[in-house]
Amino acid sequence: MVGFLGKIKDTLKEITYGMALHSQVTGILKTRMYIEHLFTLMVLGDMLGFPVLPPYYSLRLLPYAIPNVQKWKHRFYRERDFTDIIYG
Amino acid sequence: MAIHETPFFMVAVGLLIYALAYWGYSKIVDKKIWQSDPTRPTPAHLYTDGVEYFPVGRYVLYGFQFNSIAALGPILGPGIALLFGWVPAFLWIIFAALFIGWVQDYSALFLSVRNEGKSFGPIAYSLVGPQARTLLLGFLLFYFLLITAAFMFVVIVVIDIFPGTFWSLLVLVLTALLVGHLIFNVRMNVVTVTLIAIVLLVIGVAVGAFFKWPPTGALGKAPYSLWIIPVIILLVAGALLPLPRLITPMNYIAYYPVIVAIVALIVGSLLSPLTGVKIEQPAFTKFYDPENPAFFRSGPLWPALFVSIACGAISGWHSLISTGITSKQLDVETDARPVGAGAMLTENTVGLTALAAWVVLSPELQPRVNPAFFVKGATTLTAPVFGGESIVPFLESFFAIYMVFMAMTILTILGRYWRVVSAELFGESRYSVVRVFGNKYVASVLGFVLPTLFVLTGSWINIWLYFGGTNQLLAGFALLIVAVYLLHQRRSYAYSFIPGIFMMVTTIAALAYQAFVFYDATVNAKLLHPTQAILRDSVGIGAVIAVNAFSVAVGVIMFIMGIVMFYLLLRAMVRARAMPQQTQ
Repeated sequence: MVGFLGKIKDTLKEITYGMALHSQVTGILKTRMYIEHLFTLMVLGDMLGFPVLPPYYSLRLLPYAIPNVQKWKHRFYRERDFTDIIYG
Repeated sequence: MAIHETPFFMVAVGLLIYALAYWGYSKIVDKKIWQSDPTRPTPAHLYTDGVEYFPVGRYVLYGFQFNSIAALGPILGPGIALLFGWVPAFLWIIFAALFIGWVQDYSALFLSVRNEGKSFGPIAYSLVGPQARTLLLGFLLFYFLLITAAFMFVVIVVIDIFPGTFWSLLVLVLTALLVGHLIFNVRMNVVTVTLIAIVLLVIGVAVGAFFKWPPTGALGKAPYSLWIIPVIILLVAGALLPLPRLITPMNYIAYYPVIVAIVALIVGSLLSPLTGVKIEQPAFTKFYDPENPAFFRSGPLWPALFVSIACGAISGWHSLISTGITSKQLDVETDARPVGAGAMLTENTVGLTALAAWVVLSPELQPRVNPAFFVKGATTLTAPVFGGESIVPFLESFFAIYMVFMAMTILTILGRYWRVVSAELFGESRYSVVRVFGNKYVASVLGFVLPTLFVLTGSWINIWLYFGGTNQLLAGFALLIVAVYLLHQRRSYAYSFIPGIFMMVTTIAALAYQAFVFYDATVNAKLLHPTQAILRDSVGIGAVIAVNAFSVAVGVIMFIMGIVMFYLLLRAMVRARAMPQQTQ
């Protein structure tokens, strides 16, 4: 019985989180994503034809950009269109 | 009092049908047609990036999906549909719940999951062609324009009838600013901040109940045009401020009154045999009566009924959510049914309880005339459960703010959308005159100028039917795209194709009829609604004609777009049939 009630409690908790907070959390993650994109673009801009920083500073910042490169590449190449703007 | 004379009857029958749809029909479709496989990796696992693509539990995603699709559609639509009596509205809601509504949400979600989590635009491009994508862009711009207009209209009409609502809204906005500051700047615990917000919201509702200033009618003949100014100021602020400053916290705290209102309406409906609240509206009136101005403005039962109850039956907006966000976060394929179908059937329940609130109104009130009458119906339905006459002012304020919250959370997002789109379209132009429109302040205000033109038509019913038409057309579009995909896969597609054809034909007919109503008003220099007398008296009949002509133009464009889309989709079906079977 306790297990059953606990399950119901957890389910309600998850539904409430999904209704109230999930979209806010996703929105904040997206805002962080755009800032990360900007940072990676600044550091690796040379490779894409946007020399934003002098190579000296790019090399200094490279260790901070490297962990995000894989995800950044994926997001960068992903097909986006106007239907994606709706969600921020 | 017989039990079938109470809202309990319709809600109980509806819930039974929904259970049948969920545990019966949707299960068959899930197993036999889509063949959901819990071991098959979803885009959330294949492309995990921790931002857009990441696996989320089914209950969280269900809650998110429901919250994203819930808006004013299921609440107001049944009010307009009452023109034909409550039985046709009830039948359409449960019929759509069984065969159409969840079919669209669930299938669009699955379609995107099986296509690398792609959004609606890229899917339309790959399955129908480049023209479909371009049409979709144009179509969505009009769609958002109409949603903005319809929701703005509702907000100002509700504020006009219940002026205290504006002050409640102001308390909500200030609370949202405070919540944003406490969470993101002070980094206070979310639970503590939530408790503070709930206390402030209760104060806001109390303010709305007792501070009814200025009284209805004190603003003279032009309440719409006057209330629209402070509402637009709030919306522009939402579009300009960073998301975590206003929109994010506002959407968060607005969730609490919304969920309380939905639960209160369900409880009120189910307890109606005990409270003695009964159905007052006629069961059926007429199919059509061109001599009656109300019937002439709305149109015949077919197609008007099927576009007036928008999200409570089926909605194209849901396919945008299903393909845009949810599909990228689905943990396993077998979650698609509880998330896609489950959330939609919950939305159907909201539509059903809203209908219960409308039908308890006295027939003399002509509920469809004013969206604010929903507040009166909801109060009538729930007051006997929560304390009787003494609680009526508080409940009225609460349900009024519930409606306004539902509209404002969508309007702020749309305001932001217009700003971003204008910046993209005009911001980089070589002409300085054009670049002005990309300026964030100008773009934020302009996003609400065209919708205001619609508001000046004075007829929320016609604007609502335009909005419902575009919304349902988008749903038909989604259903037929699903059918094209299933045909490519040589799977059974009739369950999506038949509702898709029905929705396309119905909505195109509805748009044509509404364009005709505006055309009739334009060429005969008629006032479409008594409210247009304000525009005529202040500017002249030419302004009324111009506003109606603008609405004709929009209707004709939407009609042509609908026809072309329909043609493209049917052509895609024929081509899919001729092509060899595709592997997934």
